[in-house]
Amino acid sequence: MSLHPAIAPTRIHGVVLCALLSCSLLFITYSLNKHHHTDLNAERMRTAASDIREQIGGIRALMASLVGLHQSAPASPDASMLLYANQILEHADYISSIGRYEHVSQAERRSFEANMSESGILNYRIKGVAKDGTVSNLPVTEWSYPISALEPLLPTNARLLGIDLGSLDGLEQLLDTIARTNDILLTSFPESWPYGGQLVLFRPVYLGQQTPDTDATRWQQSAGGFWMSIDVGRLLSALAARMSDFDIRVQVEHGDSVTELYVQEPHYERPLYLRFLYPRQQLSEEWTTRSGKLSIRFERQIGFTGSLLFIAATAIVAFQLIVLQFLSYQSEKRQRDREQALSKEALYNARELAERTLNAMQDAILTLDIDLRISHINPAAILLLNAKPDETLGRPVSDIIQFQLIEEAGSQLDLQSALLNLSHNSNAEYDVIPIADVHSDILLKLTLTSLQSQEGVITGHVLVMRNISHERRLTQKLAYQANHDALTGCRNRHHFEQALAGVLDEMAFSGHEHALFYMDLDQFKIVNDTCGHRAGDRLLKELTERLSAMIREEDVLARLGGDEFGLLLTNVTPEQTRNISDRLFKLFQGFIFHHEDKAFAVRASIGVVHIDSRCNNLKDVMAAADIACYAAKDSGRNSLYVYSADDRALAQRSEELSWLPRLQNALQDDKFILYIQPIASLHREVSAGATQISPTIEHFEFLLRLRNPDGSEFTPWQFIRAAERYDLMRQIDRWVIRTALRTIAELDGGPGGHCSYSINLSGQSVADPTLADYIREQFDNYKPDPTRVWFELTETAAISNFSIAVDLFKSIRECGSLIALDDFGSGLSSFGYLKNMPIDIIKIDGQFVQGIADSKFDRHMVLAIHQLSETMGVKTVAEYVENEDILKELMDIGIDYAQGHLIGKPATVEDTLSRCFSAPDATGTG
Amino acid sequence: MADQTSRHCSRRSGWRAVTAACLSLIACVAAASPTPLCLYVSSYHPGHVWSDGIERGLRQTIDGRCEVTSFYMDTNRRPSVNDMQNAGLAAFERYRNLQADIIITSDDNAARYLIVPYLLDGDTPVVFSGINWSAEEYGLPTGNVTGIVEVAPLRHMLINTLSAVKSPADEQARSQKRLPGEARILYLGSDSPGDLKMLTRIDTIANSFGTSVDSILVNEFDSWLSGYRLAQAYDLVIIGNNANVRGFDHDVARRHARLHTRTLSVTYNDWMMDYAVLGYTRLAEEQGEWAGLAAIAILDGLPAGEIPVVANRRFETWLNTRLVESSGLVLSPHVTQRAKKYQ
Repeated sequence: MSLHPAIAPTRIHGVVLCALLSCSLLFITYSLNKHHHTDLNAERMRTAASDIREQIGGIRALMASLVGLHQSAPASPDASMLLYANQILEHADYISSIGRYEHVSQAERRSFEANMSESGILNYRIKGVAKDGTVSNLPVTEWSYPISALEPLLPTNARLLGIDLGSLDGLEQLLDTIARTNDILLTSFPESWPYGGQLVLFRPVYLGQQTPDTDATRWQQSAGGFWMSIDVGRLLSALAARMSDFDIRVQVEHGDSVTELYVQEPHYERPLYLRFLYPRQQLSEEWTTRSGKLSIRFERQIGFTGSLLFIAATAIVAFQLIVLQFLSYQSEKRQRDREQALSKEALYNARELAERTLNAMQDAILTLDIDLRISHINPAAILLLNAKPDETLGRPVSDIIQFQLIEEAGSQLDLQSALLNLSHNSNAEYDVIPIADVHSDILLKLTLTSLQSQEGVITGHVLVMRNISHERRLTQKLAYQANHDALTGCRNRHHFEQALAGVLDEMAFSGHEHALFYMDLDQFKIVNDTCGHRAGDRLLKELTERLSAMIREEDVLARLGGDEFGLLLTNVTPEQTRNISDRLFKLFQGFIFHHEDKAFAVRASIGVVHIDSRCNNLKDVMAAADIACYAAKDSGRNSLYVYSADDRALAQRSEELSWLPRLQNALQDDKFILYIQPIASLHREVSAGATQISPTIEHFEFLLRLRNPDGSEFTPWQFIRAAERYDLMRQIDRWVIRTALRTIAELDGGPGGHCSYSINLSGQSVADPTLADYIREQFDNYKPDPTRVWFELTETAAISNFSIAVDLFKSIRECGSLIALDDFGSGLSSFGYLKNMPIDIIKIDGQFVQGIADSKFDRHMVLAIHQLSETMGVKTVAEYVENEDILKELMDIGIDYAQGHLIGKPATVEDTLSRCFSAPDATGTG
Repeated sequence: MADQTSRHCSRRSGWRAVTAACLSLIACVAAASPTPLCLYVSSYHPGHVWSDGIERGLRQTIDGRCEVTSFYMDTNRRPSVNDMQNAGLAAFERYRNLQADIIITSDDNAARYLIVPYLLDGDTPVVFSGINWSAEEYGLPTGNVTGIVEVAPLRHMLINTLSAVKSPADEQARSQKRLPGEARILYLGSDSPGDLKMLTRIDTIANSFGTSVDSILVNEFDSWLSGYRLAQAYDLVIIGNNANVRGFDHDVARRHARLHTRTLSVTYNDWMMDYAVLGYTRLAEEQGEWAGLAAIAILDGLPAGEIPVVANRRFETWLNTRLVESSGLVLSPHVTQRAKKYQ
């Protein structure tokens, strides 16, 4: 997927911009978060420090008050201190203890111990103590700092009474220092001591009510002091609770000694993210005295809370979406601008193209505004109207041109009404003639179209005028050709049938009767073949003229086929029909066609059907006429036969019709079978100076049979007429060819495998120009020996399709097969045909062979044919050899082959071959 | 059948095992975390004001930390040495029967007849309380014995009372104008070792002021009444204990005091406040509270020998306003304004 070249930089810019803005937003969020938390944390730490300062100040004030109390109540300081200390401990829970220590010289030591024992602490002794809390009796020093009082005095801390603080490492020096300086000492007791790990503040007191003003005098008047132990955890409990997210560390140091008094690890209610981005923020607060320092350090880590991170991420995403949406909007806007520009350009081009197209079109086009004034005229219209554009544009169309409707001769087209009546999105077409000074002879196809805006408002009209003069003439010509015979000029079959159907339909209402004549010229082919087609055509034209002359105008004469004519006489009575029939028959009896020096008597077989109320459909009427025509042919041609429903001959014709479905079914269901009939070869053998003839079976003729469901069989003579009539013979012949060649191939190498076989072809197949290819194809399929195949064709069929038959014969002979001319002598035998016909065998018609033993004419006919054959170098076959006499005569004549019941009757292939080649006398005559 | 019996026995054995396990578990839990047993041995009897105060302070302090069982030697009502020795033995027997974890005693007789003969240097920690002034006479403290002694604020009492009277109500108050070293002081108490010990200490303190203390120690109530009348001739009367004064009738004594009080009197026993103008009294609860805290510390693992013996430090100042009113004494404001009023 590639970006549009104009969009890609925009997207890249958008991405870069988003990245930069996101970074900026992230940085802003970072900075705001930092400043916010820095300020907030600083304020919180300052507040905390201030609170601690106040608390420390309070503690110092309490100590100062203790000192003041001590100095103001010399009479019973211990009792006062006890009461005051209890008050302090009661109200300041972070003060864990308040103690009193003395400053006792070596000289005062005994009396001091005695006084302490007397005042309630039995066996009071000044003791030394180690850091681990071990009490020991130390050597008496010059000065000692024994603990003399302690509040709260508890069994757990009472052992501190008498402890010499000076025995602790370094503390003696510090106590000495604060005694001299009247300063506060910040320190802590050892961990093993009561209150160990707590902050301990020492404050000196002096004898007298006034604090001495010099170090020396303060040392001289030193009376020990007080201490307070501070539980830092409690002191900071409230503060620590509200600053639980801070790292708080409290430590006290004096000299090299540093003691950690309190540590609070930060606890964050919500996890912090991206901490590494921020430095730790800290604040230290220190209270320094000459002898030590108390420091409190707050530290806080800044980071992103989950909610802030989510908000920041959401804001960034939202911001990116907004930017992307904005960029997308900009991009789309630019795209729309480009598309609009392209659209305008396309519109201009379309308009230009439309105008050019209009101008280039052959149709004359006028565009009209809503007032039917011409707004555009193309060159074709200029030529058509012979108008000048400057004078035409803007004028009402009615001033320029008006139209006359073709269909309604003489009426003028109301153009304005026609345009107003146009429905939406529809056209109106009219065939018109322009009413103008010029071109008034042309026909126009006028198309009216309304132009509409998108809202459906009509904004104008378009008139398209196409010159349809030529088309219309062509249409008229085609219409004429569709209904007329091109040769004779009379109606053709199509029109005839239409007219017949029309009168049949009309007959139910009119009650009129009609007559149909079906005329088939006899021997028309002879004229065609002998004089050529032109002569035949002229014959047909002359006949048409004569027929036309004898009929009424309302009658319909049509050429139905090559030499077939139909005549429909409308509204005639049976009597009139007979009269016309007579006249028509007489016409043919006297019609002689002359061509060059030849004269042909043109005769016809005429079938007549009187159409009355009993005839109700075209098919039946045509069939009746056809039957009647054939009946006339059957009756010897040149006759007229009037159809009658109870006519016997016509019944026979009807029976032929019944063959049609049986034949079709036989082809479809393979109900045909092939018989073979042996044909004996009449060989001449010279033996001992005499010629002997021995008939041998070397050839068979395939004969077609149709098997009935009951097992009986039909011979071809029963159905071949119907097959020819209904044009089924070509299919049947092909079945015979295919089956016979396959059979021959199958017989190869077996009984009959060495023999040759004849296959009959019908006249219809001979006329089929594709038959030769089909035969070659079957030879290729089954590979029979072609030299052992004869194709038989009747003399009549060969002559009727002479030229095609000659081509077919040549093709068959090229395959290697032989051609036999069947029934020679029965038809229009013309020896002249034989000269130009490539044949190999002549089968002499049986009518001559049957009488050869009794009729000299027949014997001479057979002899003549045989002699002619010998001259041509073709073999002869005699049919209908039914007895020995016939055979003997044939042998005497020298006929080559004999066929007939004497030789062998037709039977199935198996039976025939079995009979011919299994019996000892198989080669006999049978 | 054999299978059924076997199953039945097996089921029964199972229940036994479960029951035994439960009982064992309960026993283990009980043995693992027993509540310590503290035996409190009072020298006196229930109803003894001082001894009851100590026990009250003890129980309030030790609340729930150990189970306190009390034993009363009743030596006040059976003061013969033989009875007190028997009481000490009975207390020890009680301790042995109870197998107490710690023993807490109150007052001197418990120390003398229980701690000293049976418990010194033993394994059982002992916390004493209420021993007057010093425990040294009993050889205390030792490694397993510590406690708190009972002292009276005698010095404080003398210093304050000697300057308490602002102006004399009549002739008998004149002595209070005198300097402390010139004041005549009388101690009225019972003829008992305790009062005798107290008299000695007061006299010692008075000697430090340059004066001395006369005394009237009696065994009969009538003698006490007579002595009270005689004492009105002194500048200061110190009312001692009445523990061994037979026939002491408080109502009579109260009326007698209202009728005859003419001079400043003071007592260090709060139960004698009906007969003294001022009182500097100790708190028996303080003794019990300390003993309780010490017992807890010992139970927490602190050796008794590491707890020093201390003395009571809390006192209360009382002013018997009825006697002040009936006597016509005018006292110094610094005394009357801070003293609790006793009515």
